[in-house]
Amino acid sequence: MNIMDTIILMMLIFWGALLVFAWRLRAGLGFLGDAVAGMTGFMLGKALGPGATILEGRTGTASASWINHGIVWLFIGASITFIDLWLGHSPNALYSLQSWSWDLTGNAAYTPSIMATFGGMIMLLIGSSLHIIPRMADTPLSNETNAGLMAMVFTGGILLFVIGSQFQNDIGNLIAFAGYNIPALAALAIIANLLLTIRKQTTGLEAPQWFIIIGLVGWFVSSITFVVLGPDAAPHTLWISEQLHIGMFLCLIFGVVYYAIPSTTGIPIPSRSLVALTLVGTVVTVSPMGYDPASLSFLELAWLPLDLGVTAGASFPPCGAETDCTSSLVITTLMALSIPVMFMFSTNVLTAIRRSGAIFEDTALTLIAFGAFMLPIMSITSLFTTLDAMSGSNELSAAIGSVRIGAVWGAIIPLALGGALAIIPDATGKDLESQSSGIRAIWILGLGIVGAFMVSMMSDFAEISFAEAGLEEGFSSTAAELRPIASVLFYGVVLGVLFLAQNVVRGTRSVDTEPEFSILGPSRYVISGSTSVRDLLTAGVTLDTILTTDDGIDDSVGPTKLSEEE
Amino acid sequence: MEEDSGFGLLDYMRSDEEPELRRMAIAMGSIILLIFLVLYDVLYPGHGFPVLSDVIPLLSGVMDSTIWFFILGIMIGFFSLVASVLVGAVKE
Repeated sequence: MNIMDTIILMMLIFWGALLVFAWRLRAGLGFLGDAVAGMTGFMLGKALGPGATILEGRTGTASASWINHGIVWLFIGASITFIDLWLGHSPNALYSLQSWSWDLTGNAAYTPSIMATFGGMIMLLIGSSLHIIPRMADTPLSNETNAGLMAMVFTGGILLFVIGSQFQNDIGNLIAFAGYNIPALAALAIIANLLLTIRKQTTGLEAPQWFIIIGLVGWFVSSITFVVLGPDAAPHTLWISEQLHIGMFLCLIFGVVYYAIPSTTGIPIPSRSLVALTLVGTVVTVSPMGYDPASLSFLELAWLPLDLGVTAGASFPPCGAETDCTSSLVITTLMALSIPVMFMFSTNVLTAIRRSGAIFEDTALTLIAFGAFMLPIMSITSLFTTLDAMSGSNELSAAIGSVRIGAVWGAIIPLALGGALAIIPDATGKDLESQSSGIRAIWILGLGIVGAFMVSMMSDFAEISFAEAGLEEGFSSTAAELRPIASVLFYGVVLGVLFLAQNVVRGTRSVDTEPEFSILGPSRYVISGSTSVRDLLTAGVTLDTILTTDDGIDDSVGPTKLSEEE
Repeated sequence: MEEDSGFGLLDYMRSDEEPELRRMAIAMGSIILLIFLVLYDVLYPGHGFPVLSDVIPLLSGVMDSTIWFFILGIMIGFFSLVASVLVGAVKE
């Protein structure tokens, strides 16, 4: 099978599987049947034996547990990423640890940084999903105890991977492999739990629910597609599978954010058609973000027993007179098509937040706004570096690591963390300790990642210019001087995430835990001045919303008042 | 409020916002420590500090990279996070 057939076949299997799943989901999950549902419920509950009684199983505890674990792992992920960046320019900085037989050379910091960062992010997203799905289904979570228990299992898995990755021998690799797969099993139990929950839903699925379920299921489908196509196709399918993972994580993030904004502000997402297009677009396209051939060391541990035979990053033939470049065109088109999807999401979200007037006042919304602003920028930047690497040009290969870190910590993590922070008061009944210190943490995080990204790009381009000048034997002193500055600036991300995490764990019990907004639209709406019906519909007003005027009493200067009456 | 026929100084000198005792204790402690260090250096010039001077050479060769300062910050942050979680769990 040639490359083109492999890529097209992979995408067709991925789309086909998700399409069939979505079709059955739309029909109301009747296909599960009472027997299958009963069996799954038994597996999640009584089959665990004494394990099922470890936790109390109060409503909302599972969601809170996943979010709290997730935010701590995110801090650890940021810390290890910082250490990895530092070791990039000073490989011997931690050599003294070798006296304890702890060898932090090679990929010893890189692989756990990926696991802890993405593990923490997935935990935040699953925690949010465990709140959103039952709430929108208007039914309790199918098995709260199991979901809470799975948070511990997931955390145990990440910890195993981090420990295993420090022993660079066969036993260490095996521990890391187990550590990678245990969280996958926990996530599978969560999917079953969520499907059993929406099985009881009497109304149709809402948009955020679609995003979350498709994102979680698509994550597994992309891995299964990769395995089904076998080791011969692995040099290409492995990388496409990883990019599909990123796409599905974005799908999850979009679902959480699309729920978080209306539930926090009372202002709906402006355009429902853009929401639907984002869902379709996320599934149909391939994200260029997060691609880095260096992550092969991580994937080797994750897929250990499969013996993939993959030794390099993805490489698709460039177009030439004698070469068939259809695979390059397919991948280029699918990745380029993801850019408008990012813009759709970003525009929709930023408009909603701007209308709420909560930016720089509410921690969660400010973080979401930052991520939504950075998302299209980082997508376009990633498109350049990813396609450059995949086409074999490798002119921008020096910048690919910086772009990966910029995309992950500048766009993906702020959106996931912001979404979870917005949900925390509703899910756990606890407010953040202080909104002002939360905003300060976002400033530190934002300046840290933007500064680190820009300085490391300056360093990379200094190196690229040096190489282009034909000085291959030398090394750019400018690049060498800029790298430590980029590392120190990234420490801002570590501090930002730490302060946000402290803000969450020290949160105070809130008085009113009920959300102010129904996903169906505001019940009352205040009109100030003359307004068109289009503006009202854009603001989410429905046929049942009661409109009132403010009689022009408020003549203060400020943003146009379009918010729901308090 | 008493009448102040002068420059209104009494109003400024009687603040209702006293600094927290904890902050005052930390500030006073730091000042006393600084005074002690200066005094020790004046009274015993050229002598190392007791205990500290014996411990610090042990760390040379181990913590000789700037990254250790950052790692120290990370460790303090991590343990403060764990402490907050434990305190929260015990309190509830």
